Parts: sequence; structure tokens; C-alpha cells
Amino acid sequence: MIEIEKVAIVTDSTADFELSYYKEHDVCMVPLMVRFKEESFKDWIDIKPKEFYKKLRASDVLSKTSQPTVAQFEEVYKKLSRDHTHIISIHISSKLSGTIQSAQIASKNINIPVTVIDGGLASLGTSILVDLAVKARDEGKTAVEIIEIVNKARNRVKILFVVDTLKYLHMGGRVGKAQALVGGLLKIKPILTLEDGLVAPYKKARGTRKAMQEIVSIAKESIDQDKSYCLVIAHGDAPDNLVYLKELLLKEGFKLSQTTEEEVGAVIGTYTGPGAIALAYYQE
Amino acid sequence: MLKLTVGDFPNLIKSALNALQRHQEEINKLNVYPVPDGDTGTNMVLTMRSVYDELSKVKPNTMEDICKALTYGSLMGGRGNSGVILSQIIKGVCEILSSKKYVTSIFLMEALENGTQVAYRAIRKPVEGTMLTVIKDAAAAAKEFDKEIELDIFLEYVLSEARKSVMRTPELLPVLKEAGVVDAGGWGLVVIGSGILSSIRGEIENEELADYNAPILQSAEEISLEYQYCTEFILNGEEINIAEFEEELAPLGDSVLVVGSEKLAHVHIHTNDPGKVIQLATDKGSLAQVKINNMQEESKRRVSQISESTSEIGLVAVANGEGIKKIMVSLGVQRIVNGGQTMNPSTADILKVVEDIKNSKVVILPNNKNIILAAQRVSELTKKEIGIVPSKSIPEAFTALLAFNKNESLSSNVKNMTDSLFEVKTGEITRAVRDSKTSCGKIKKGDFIGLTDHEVKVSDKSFIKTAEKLIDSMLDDESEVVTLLLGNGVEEKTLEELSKIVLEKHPGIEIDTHKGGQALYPLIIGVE
Repeated sequence: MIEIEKVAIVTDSTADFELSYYKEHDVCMVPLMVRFKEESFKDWIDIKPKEFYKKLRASDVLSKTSQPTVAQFEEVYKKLSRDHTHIISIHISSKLSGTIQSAQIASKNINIPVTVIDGGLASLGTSILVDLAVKARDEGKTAVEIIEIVNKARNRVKILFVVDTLKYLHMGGRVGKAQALVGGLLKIKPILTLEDGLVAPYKKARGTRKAMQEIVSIAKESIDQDKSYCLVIAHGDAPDNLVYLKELLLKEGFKLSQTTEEEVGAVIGTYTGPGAIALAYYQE
Repeated sequence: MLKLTVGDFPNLIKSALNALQRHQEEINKLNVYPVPDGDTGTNMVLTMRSVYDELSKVKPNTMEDICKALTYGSLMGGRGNSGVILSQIIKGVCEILSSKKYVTSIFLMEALENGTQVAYRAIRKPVEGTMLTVIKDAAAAAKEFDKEIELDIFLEYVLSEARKSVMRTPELLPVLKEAGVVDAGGWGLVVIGSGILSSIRGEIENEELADYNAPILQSAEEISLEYQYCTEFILNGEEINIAEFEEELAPLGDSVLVVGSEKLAHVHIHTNDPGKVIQLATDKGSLAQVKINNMQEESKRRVSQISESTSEIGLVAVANGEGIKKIMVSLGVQRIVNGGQTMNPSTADILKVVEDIKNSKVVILPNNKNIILAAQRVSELTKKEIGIVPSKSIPEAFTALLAFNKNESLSSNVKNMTDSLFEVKTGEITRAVRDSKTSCGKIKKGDFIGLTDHEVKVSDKSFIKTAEKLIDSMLDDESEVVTLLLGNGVEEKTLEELSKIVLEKHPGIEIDTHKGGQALYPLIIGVE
């Protein structure tokens, strides 16, 4: 008898997909939590980006985040184990969050194989990995093949982001190797990336538009536009910047039909703050 | 969770120890005070491990059992200044919790308060900007809750205040600010707290606290220590008079700490005469766990480690004006050669600085077209590998420095930095030294003139008008940031007025103003 594989895909809320994505593409999402003093919210479920940034701008304390509990993952995995043969769980960099630890512990008590993948990325970076997995699954690829695709991509997805201020990364303890950028006396817009799962400085620019020109020119140099590519752009409460970024991309010949737009959610936004703009790409 | 009970404590301490271990190296790197021997993290871990080991030995039934083990373990195992102070905080905390059946936020508030007091009392000369300040601020934050609340909310708030307190330590203790670090012991306390919070929340790892990422000390100079040996031991006796013994030791060194009871004391001192200290102690009882460390050697070892890690490209720039120099340093310049428009430094002046720094590869920024040649000659006179970025102004230097990447080669840095020079336009305002006729009309001696590319573009009797006209001429659709460097003798008010005018005329522009302190040019303008 041939056993038919049925693969379930799980991620966490820091992939920053709209909730509709999960429904349409049959992906399970486990939310992280974000807190303002005594108020607690499930990322993306109880609090959408707009509301979050409004709160953040009004709040005198910074928001805090916490990883999902083991129980949250167990519940999702157990449910999926009833009608699937394999679970692939793709998550935010283990160096930025303890989410993956909860997932790993939960995965031990499940009676079908659960593969937990440390994406080494965050937000729109993770979303590229999840989307690759979804497409592969929908094409009928096996679990092993899907895992291979994601693992191959995770080291090659490039994410570049510009924050309005390093304050949030710094206060949240996520400034990583970009520490070197803190404390310079000139006003700069740091262009950051994720390197080995940690925030790292990429370049310094003066002015947000200069910084966006810089990231678009990096994308142009790296992407062969004649072949297929994934390009995702996102903003954290900076829709005007996103419009400018799109103009730049169009100017450089990128097709917006191949470009996905996202918003940076509450958990990631806790560390990037209002005014962030990001671009991630992957080409096989 | 509203209450902690006896059964919660082993996990709590374990979690605190784990957190400290994870951050041990990072705390070590922060350690510059009182002695930069880079062991605060290690000492705190050892202290906490001793607490944990002690607790593991007993089967606690009551809070009293717990507190006894905590107090004893930290006293016996307290290592170094930070460890001993930590042991005193623990002692104070335990004095309060010992009589309780369980622990609530109210009891914790009292405990933190007492911990602070006991720690302050134990130290002869309490210094602010250290872990003492941090525990004091934490205790003050705890007081803001006047009724029982969930422990995780309580602790989270206390920790966030403690964290802010740590961030303020450089303001209180200049040696920290100079080294560009926060207090190591204070940070260690936050780490311990975060471990406890994780345990209360039932998390495996604390989500909130990633590495602080201590910056590596830039100017790692070998220090000469007044007192060379860190001397530490446990003293077992019958009637040890703690205060008296501390008095006795005081003339022999600094960082003197004698804590504990009349039967069991922990002694810590930095001294040049460990023999004398030991001798005084043996008169009072028997010694255990004697540890004598040569801190000068530790410090040397550490400096050599740091120097190795900065075998990167060095940056040398020509500049004048205190404010400008400060900005340059903040952008990574190691050394400044004094000079500028009317005081061009010689090749020898630049060479001396290039030879002075440790780096074997050096990028020089002349920042004036008349100095470029002198800078170029340096490469013929030194064995070091030299790169010249032909910067002709201070704003160009800033842009070039922002393009510098320490991970890239000298040649690609020179290329990137040189390319970046075109991204910025420079304007300068000075006073006419004589009457003259230019393309923009007659200029009288003493008038303000605005230059770009060393050509007079505008002039006016009023400084503000000149600046306004010059900036207008420099801005275009692509311009985003205007940097204004205020020279000597111009009031800041004038600059504020100017910023206002420019912003009104050109909304969407970002203005970055600094006191440059340069001579001759009341204003230097960068537009990019």
C-alpha cells in the first residue's frame, strides 16, 4: 500500500502575514505575545499593526514581547497530527527569539514527525520561506523535498531594513552587531540586515530616502530580473516610505506583480519601531 | 502568579544561574570598574553557583531553610567585589523573606528595600553608578506598587526600571562613560532578575533579554593600578568584629569589604601587601578559600586581547574645532591632526600621528584641498599601508566616514569613501578680509560671504541672510539632510533661528545641527 503524505505547515506570527494568508494557504500560525505594561495581546490576532503603532507612539513605556508557550505549540501540533503525516514548522531566528525552543520541546510529544526549522530570519524574511514551503506543498512535493527547499533558501534570503531610530532595537536588546552604530553623533539612518540570525549593520546613510535608494540598488545588483525571483517589501507605520520604495523599484525595472507587500506586526515592530522600511529577496 | 512558595525556589535560582552563565562573557567585557580585570561575569556566576549548590544540598521545608542556604551559599562563594556585594543583597533580601510562609510582591518589595540597605551598609564608601545604584533604583521601583499584584508584572516593571538604571550608570561614573560601557555588576543584577522572571513565567529562556553586546574598548590603554593584588578569603572565628576588622584593613588598600557574622566572614581587598592582610586575619581566626590575584597581570592580558581585536584599518583625519573632532571620533576616527584652512599641517605632523597609532593600515582624510598633497607624501615615508581619501571639507569627511566598513580591504574602503564624496555638497560662511568685486557684486571688508567649491556665491551684511541664501542655492529636489556646524563665536540662538527659517522654506528637509567649534568659519554646511 502506498502511504499518501499530507504535510502541514506551521509558522509563528512574526512572519508578518495578514491573517487571511493563513486561511487561504492552509498554514497554521502560532502567535507571540506583545505587552504594554498590564495589557497583553496576541500578535496579529488581538492587535493589528495600525493599532499597535498608535499605542506605541502614545505609550510612555516600550512594549515587551514573549515567545509562545510550549502548550500553544503542542495544541496546534496535536490537532494537525490527526489528519497529517508530517508537520514542518518554520520560525523566527533563534537568536532573536526563544520561539523555536518552545516549538522544539512541543514537537517531542507528537506522534507524527515534526520538523522545526530555524529560519534564521524574521518578518518578511520568514514569510519568503513559508511561502516557498506552501508552493512546494501545493505542487505535491514530499516533506523531505519541502524541507530541502526551505533549508536551501534560508541561507540565501537577503533581508535589508532601515529603521528610523536604533532606540527600539537597543532598548529591546536586539541591536546585535549593529551596536557599533549606536552613539555616533550624526543623525544617520542605519541600513541593517540579518547575519547568522542576528541584526547586523550593512551600511549607514543620511536620510531615509538615501537609505531606500541604497537598498534598492543592492537588490538590483543581486537579482537577475530575467529569471524568477521573490521580492517582499514591508513597512512599519510608514506607508509614504513604502510608496517611495515602490517608485524606486519600478524605476529599476522590478515588476510589482512579483512583489509582495506586508506590514511589520507588533512583535517585530517592538524592536524596529515606527518608520521602519524593509525589503527581502530570494532568487534560486 | 501571586505567590512563590518554598518549592519554587530551586528552579528560580537555577534559572538565575543559567541566565548569568549565558551572559557571563558579555558581563566580563563590560568590567572596567573598580579594576578593569574583566571578571565580573565570572565572579557573579561563581557566587550564584555556590548559592545553587548550597540549596541543592538541603531539602528545604520552609522559607527559613531556603534563606539560610541562600545567605550561607552566597557568603561562602561570593567572589570579587561584585560577588560580595551580591551576597549582601541576598543577605538583606533573605532577612525579610526568612520569616514568611510564601513570597508576594509586597514581601519582595520589603526584601529589595532591605537588600539595598544591607548592601549599602556593608560598603565603606558606596559609589554610585554601580550595582548598588541599580539595586536601589530597583527597590524604589518596587515601592510604586502598594498592593499585591501578579509577580511577573511586578518583576517585569522592576526589571525595566533596573535596566534603565543600568543605562544611566555611565552618567554617574565617568570611568564607564570613557570606556563606553555600562556597569558590569549592575547589568549582572538585571540578568539575574531576568532569569528569575523567566522562571516565574515558566519560560525556558527569557524573551526580553538578549545580549547587551558590550562594545569593545576602543582605547585599551594599559592601566597602572594603585593596588595590585586582589586578596580574598573566608575567615572562621569566634568573635570577629566585622566593623573593626574593616577599619584595620582600610589603610592597606581599597575596595575593602568585610561581610558576614562574628563566626564567619568574607573578606575582600585590593592591596599591595596581601601578606599583611593575611597576617592580620590569622590573628582573628582560621582562613579558608584564600585567593590572591595579580590584577596588573590580568589587566595586561586583557589589553593584549583587545589590541589584537583592533588590528583593523586605522582612521586619521585633519580637523579643528572641539565639536568637529568629537563627531569625527564618534564616527570611528582614532586620531585627529590639528589643522584646517589657515593652518595646514605638515607631512611630518600627519606622519607622526600615523606612526603613533597601532594600526598597520591607515586611511587619511585631509579635509582640505591644500592638505591633500601633504597627506599623500606620508605614504612615501612610512612602512604602513596608507590610503588617501581626497576629502576637501568636513562634511565630505563625515560622508566618507559613514561609508567606511571595517570588514573590507583598505583599497575598497578608499574607493567607497572616495565615491561617497560626491554625495555631499559643502558650503562655508566666512567674513571678507578686504573689499573686492566678485561675480555676485561688490563685497565690503567684514561682510559675510558664502562659498561653495571655494567660490563666493552670496554675500550679505547679515550672517543669517548669508546663510539662508547659501543654503537655498545648495538645495535641490534630491536633498534630504542639511548638516549645520556652528563655528566659534556664533550663538546657538542664531542657529536655531536659521534652522527655523530653512525648515519653513523647505519642509521635508531634516536638519542636523552641531556645535563644531571651528575657527574662521562661523558656519559649515553639508547638504546631501
